[in-house]
Amino acid sequence: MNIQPVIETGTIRRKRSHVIQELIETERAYVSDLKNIIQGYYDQFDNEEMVHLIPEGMMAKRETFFGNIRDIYHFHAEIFLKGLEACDSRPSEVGRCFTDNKERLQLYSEYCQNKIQAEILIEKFGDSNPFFKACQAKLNHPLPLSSYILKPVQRITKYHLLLKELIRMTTQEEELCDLRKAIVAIGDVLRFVNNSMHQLSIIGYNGNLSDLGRLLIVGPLEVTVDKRKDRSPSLKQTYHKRQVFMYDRCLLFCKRKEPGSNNTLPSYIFKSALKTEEVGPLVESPRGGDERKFELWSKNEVWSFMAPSIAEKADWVDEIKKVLFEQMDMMRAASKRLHIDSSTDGGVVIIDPLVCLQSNELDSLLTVDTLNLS
Amino acid sequence: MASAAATGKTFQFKLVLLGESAVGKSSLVLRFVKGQFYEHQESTIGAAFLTQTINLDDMVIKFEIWDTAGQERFHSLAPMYYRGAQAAIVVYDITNKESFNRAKVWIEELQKQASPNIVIALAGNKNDLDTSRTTTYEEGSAFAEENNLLFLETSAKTANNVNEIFMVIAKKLPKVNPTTAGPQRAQGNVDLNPQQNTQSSKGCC
Repeated sequence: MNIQPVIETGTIRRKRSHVIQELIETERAYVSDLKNIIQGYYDQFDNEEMVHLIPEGMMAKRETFFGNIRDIYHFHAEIFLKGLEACDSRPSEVGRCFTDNKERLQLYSEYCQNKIQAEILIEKFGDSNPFFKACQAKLNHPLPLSSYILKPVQRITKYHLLLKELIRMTTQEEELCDLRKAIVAIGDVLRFVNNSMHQLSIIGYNGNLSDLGRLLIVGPLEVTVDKRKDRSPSLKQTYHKRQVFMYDRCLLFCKRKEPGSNNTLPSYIFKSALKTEEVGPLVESPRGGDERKFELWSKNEVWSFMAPSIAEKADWVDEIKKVLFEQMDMMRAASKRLHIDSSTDGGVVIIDPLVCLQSNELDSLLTVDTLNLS
Repeated sequence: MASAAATGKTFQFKLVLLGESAVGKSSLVLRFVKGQFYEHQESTIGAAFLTQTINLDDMVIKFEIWDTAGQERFHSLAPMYYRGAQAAIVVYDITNKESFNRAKVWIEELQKQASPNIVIALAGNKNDLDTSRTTTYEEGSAFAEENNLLFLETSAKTANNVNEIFMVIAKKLPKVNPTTAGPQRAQGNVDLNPQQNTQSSKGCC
């Protein structure tokens, strides 16, 4: 984002107030847009003068067109906008507006998941069916409904840009701290929205996804699994491309299937699962490898992963560590302590899952493995 | 212009800009519609979407432009933007190699998942920073050629090739009957009011 002119022309204080103004003004405009969509489209389904224009079968789908946009509107109009407007006189409060509302912002997850259905419906009935066309004309909107129902998706992805800008313009330590927390909060919301979208397309998993806990991270990884007893560093490994969904209690490995000609989303065919409770140590930097690689050891297997980039690997490693730490806390609570134990079983080593080993720390252990194999 | 409005048809196309953060997606859009837009462009996020019309031969081409800034790392949201788009500009920064690699990934995704008829242009932006470049013109051009993409190096800062990239897209877009145009809910061939059929932007919606 090119904002150089701001830096050249004003004092930090002025620039800062400008960003806050932009945040508030665009929020007002957004609330007004939401109100227009609800009054101009949603409510018109009840307008007796308009009802005759509604194509057959469309009335029953009313809620699907709009998802939870009314909840989103009420939240923004009654809570969030007011909170931000108060920051006009108390700019130091901006960060807290976001952190305080983190849970409520997860409304966007439902909205985005529904939006796929809404798009299919709009394609079916057409943006320019007589009813929508009449609504659009009354609103004097230059663009059809399909453009306007994208607004919530756009809005939720813009806040972090404004917060980043605000951080650049802030020097006061306490405010900076609040703003950084706000960025983390909005990032968590976006990740949650993003992740929840992918799981809609998992095919062939017989269990219930809601039993697996929260969805923590999703992404493409190249994966290979070896039996620990067969493992040799010189062995050539074949990696498979998988879309990996990591929940609190399980990792699901799926094969991505490209969408057909009907322009829908890709689907993910379930291949295998790994329970997080079976996962032992995480090896952040395996030996002799690409920096994008990492490994997860279970009792009998070594799961090797290669992320598309170092940054994405870091995201995975962070989430896995969190799960391992949480498991460790639970185990401690249950007083089930695992011990570092050099077992005689083919050199298998059971390691405290809390310990995230680096390659050099692992060297001696792997050496034991290799010796036993040879 | 008046004759175009009088004799020509108006075609409307949805265009989406994709690319890594900070490659200049928003700046390119603002440059393209600037002049008819607000002068004090100190905004971080700009408008949700903008429209701009250009004249091409005896036709009026109206672009509905979607800026995707902010969603770069949240990949599952991207299809919501490019579904139904008839054109896409994938932008990279010639001084940032990683952004060029990302652009390749976007193009692969668009070719697999967007409308099969989508017109894709690759824009190597910030070509005013030639001395810091990490991607040569030839690399961009060769990749574009292999993948059948339109290609220009641009500069939102100096305006170099900005109008041109929209123009080459306009030329390549199929001007067909609205009922068969492009993807499922194409809005092609919308007749606007005559007073809108001039080279003008509609600004923020």
